[in-house]
Amino acid sequence: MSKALRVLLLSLVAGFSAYCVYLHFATKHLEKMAASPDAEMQWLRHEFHLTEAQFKEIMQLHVTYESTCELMCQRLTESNVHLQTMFRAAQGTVTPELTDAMKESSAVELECRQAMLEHIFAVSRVMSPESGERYRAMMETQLVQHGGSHTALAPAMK
Amino acid sequence: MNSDLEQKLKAWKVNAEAPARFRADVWQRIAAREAAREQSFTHQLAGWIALLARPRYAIAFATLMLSAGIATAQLQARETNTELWRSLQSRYVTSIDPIEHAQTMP
Repeated sequence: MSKALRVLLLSLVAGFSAYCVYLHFATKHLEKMAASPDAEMQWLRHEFHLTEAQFKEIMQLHVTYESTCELMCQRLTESNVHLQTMFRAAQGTVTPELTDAMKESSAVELECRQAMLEHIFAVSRVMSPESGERYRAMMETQLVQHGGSHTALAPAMK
Repeated sequence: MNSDLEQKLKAWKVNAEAPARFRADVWQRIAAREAAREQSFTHQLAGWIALLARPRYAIAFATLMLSAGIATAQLQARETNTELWRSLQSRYVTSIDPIEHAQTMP
């Protein structure tokens, strides 16, 4: 192989290797963070530059809220299953049972939203005023964009 | 009949003369074709590659390839990190949203 061709191939290999090595090291930290079980909390910590004390307090709030959230989720699932059963049983007519099931489902959803908002506000109070404000704004954007069921949050959070 | 034709053929002479610049024109055409071939892309590429045998060009090309690799990786890493950051944000929102939990439950 001529010297020129060798230089060409070696340069191409060096360029590709530089690409792979740089990409690996530049994304390693975040990929490792994303793989950890508490990735979302680590995200919160970095995104809002939380101090150790703030992070500990927010973690405690999060752990306490997690059990409430699980309970709410359970109740919501049950009410949705009940609503589905009533919907099928109604056979094209809005029966009093179906109305009650809808009311119950809406009430549980409302409770869920209230609990979530309380948690969001509690977390924002632990942060610095600027971070707290940014956190609330971000959560509002996220929850409004998340899906149709959350659009009702927009006026409540302002 | 045949002898008549033979006589006529023997008597027939062609006085065709090549143009005065015939030979020069042929060489000119050959030279033009060779020049066109030398200017073709593959020939030019081969010429450029041959330049890499010189140390000055070899160093410049290797530096260029390394820089291009790093620059591309930098852009790619920025995109990947932005996507990861967004996915973590969504995970946090999902973790505090019971309605989202209920929707993802079997």
